[in-house]
Amino acid sequence: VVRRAFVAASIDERIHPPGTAAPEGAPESASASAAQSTATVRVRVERIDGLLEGLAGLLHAKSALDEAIASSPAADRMQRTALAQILRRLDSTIRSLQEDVLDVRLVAVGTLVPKLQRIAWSAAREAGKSVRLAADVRDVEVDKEIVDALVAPLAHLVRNAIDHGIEEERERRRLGKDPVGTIRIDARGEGAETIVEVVDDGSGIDLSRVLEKARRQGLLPNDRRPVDAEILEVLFAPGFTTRETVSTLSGRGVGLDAVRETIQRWGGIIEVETGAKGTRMRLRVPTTRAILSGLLVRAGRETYVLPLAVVAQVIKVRLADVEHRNGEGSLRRGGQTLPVLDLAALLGVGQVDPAAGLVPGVRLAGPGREAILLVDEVGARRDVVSRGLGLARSSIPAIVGTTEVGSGRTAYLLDPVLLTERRSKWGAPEEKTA
Amino acid sequence: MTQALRRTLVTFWIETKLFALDVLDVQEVTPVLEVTPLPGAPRSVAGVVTWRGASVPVLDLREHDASPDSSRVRGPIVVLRRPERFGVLVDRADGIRRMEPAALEREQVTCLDAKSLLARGFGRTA
Repeated sequence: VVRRAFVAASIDERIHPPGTAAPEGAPESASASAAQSTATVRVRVERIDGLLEGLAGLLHAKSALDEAIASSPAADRMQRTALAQILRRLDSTIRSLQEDVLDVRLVAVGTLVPKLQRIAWSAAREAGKSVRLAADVRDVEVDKEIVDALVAPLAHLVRNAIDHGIEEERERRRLGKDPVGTIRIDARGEGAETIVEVVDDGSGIDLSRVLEKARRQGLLPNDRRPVDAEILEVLFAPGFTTRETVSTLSGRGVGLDAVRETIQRWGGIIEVETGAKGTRMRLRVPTTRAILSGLLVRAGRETYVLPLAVVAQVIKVRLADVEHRNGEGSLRRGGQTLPVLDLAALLGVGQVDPAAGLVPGVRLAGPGREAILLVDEVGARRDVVSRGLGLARSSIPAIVGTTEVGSGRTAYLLDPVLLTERRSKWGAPEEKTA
Repeated sequence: MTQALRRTLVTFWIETKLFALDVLDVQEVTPVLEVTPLPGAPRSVAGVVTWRGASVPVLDLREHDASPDSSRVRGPIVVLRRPERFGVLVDRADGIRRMEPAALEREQVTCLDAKSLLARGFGRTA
């Protein structure tokens, strides 16, 4: 695969004072360097998708062949072994082709930077703040569709950083900070994921203010101090705002719920770190639209796929050990009290038989969202190609995509964060009673 | 004159009714496929099928209420030719017919079109 060489050297452009033209240098330098190194071809994305569809069909036919051979009754053993070997080779060839084609869809994250700089420039002017936007995205590449999907969330985060994070010039001087605030866009690859961060050197998120507002809006309980992760979680609640007035910049409020929704639609997650030195919003998205390591689980009649990344452990849960309070189950495990969720009930496709003694469960990991998910059956690990739901809509936000398991069967991809969301909005059941 | 009004239609049965779609709207009528029900989807959506390696949401135009045990649904799928693909679950494919409006009425064929199906099934106006 010929990868386009892309040099997005750290662009460090001062955005304020107004009147500075938004920098346009990056795309030109990119195409110039590409022309020097390799010849390139422009291809319509649909053509690449046609190739991918063909490859998926090939893979499908191959697994049908697999099954046919495995179930053929009296096939000669040696012949079978020989066939299996050929099929393995075929499989790896198709898969590597698939990856090559997916690579063709990659575009540089750096192509987003000029747009973000223009947004930062106008947002800074509107807020009357001095801001510079620096980007360190090197040659990081992400699937074209995901890059397109990142535009709105990143624009939102940049505006938020200017509106809520970066202080006014006078305040920054008083604090002994550089009077010009800095927003950094950093991107790097990490395994099959790409991480894009929006980092500001502002005052950080005022957690006690968020807590106060969240309590007033009934998003957090009054009777105890939630942990920081829970307070930060409120920022993603639909309609949550710390603003008294509506600003033209970030609209009604932080609006992070929309950002998270977009990121999750692509199988990504968003994380927040905040402190006195500023705020770091980290977007973690798959580099290619596709392959996701998943764990198959069954709830009711259907199979669902959980991202392996959030699965800490597959366990058996003794139903008698589950404590019930206010309609929510919980289980003590290793000094921790974990909420117990019934997948079939969450999806409205059934529920765990209360008479069952031991029930298979999956322990989900992740800051502030530890939980045990009861399922009807835990299946195999599987690398799956994830796809969107297309036109289909579900009232269950945790169903974020589809994939193919087995020969032509469709399974839905689940987002465990969204599965556990309702609980985290209301706070975890008393954790510190012990 | 009547020649000009004559349309080529793909016809199929849903329950006891004969429906039709313009042949230009139809990409393929598949063999019997199993539809995976989508939890939380509106009643008009039967679920999703994997067709040629792609996920295709499938409409359920049947009038009777969904069976209480929400058992799996299977049947041929009429896949529509659209940028955003979707299908219609049918009970039986009928064929391809050239028909004029009078014949449609006479034979009580309900003519469907992609646009109104999109709006009806997915609340999408396109």
